[in-house]
Amino acid sequence: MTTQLDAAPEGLDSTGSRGTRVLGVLAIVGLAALALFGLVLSPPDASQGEVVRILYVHVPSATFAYIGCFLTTIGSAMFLWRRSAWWELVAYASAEIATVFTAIVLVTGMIWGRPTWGVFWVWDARLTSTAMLLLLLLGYLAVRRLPADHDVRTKRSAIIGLLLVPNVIIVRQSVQWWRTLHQKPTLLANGVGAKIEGLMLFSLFIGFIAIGLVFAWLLIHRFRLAWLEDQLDDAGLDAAIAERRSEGEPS
Amino acid sequence: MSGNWGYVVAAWVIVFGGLGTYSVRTILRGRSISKQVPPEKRRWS
Repeated sequence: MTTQLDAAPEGLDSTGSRGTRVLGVLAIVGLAALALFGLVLSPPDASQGEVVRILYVHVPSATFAYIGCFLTTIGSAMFLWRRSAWWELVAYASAEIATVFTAIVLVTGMIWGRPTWGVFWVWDARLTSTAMLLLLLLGYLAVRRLPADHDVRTKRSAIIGLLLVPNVIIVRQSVQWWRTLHQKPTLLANGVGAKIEGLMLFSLFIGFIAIGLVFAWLLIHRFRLAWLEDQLDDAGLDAAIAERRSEGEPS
Repeated sequence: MSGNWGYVVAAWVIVFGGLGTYSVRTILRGRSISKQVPPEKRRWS
């Protein structure tokens, strides 16, 4: 039997659309190109050897984790200022994606650190501040998902969201402000001039494009999913209110 | 240096595997929840 909810217009039975399918194909092509250049065509580094290939996925992941945090802070500020539900959903979707990217950055950084520094982890300023950023993002998501009133949890999570960009600034500047084991910026040393070139620079560039396409694709899908989750929550709340009212009516 | 390929492969598997798993989870959850929401409320408009 087909219910009313099953009889959806074509394309509305998922979070996908023609645009996201095109974006998804571009992202897959980008990732394939990244694998080709990052693992096959680019040469090993003179000092780091083969482990430099980890940086072709680690650095773009870090950049888009920061962009996700930036979007969350902007979205949170717009929600608190204008009460914009659209911006609140952008903040929530970005925060979850930034959490995934930050976790990837930490793990790939640890894997890069083992052959480079001899240890997986040190309580270095860059590593510690990145771990703090991950905890802050997890805190945002935990508060956003609390079984509480929708307005209360969105407002409280938005306040946490405001703290993300200041934390990203600390992460980004940690290698300048403190003596750290982590290397200083390679791509833009003091804002100008790249310390890498040729196929290695090109591979990193492909990494930014490919991971950027994945980020954009995920953001659209996660935004639509967050919207659906809110609709489902509202429907559940409406049903609970109706049930409570019917209990109060004389039979 | 050939031994370091293990670290390279591990890092790339984590990136591709992590993003792939998260993407599939997002898509499947979207399909599942879509069925529970009325069609006119399924997209921001």
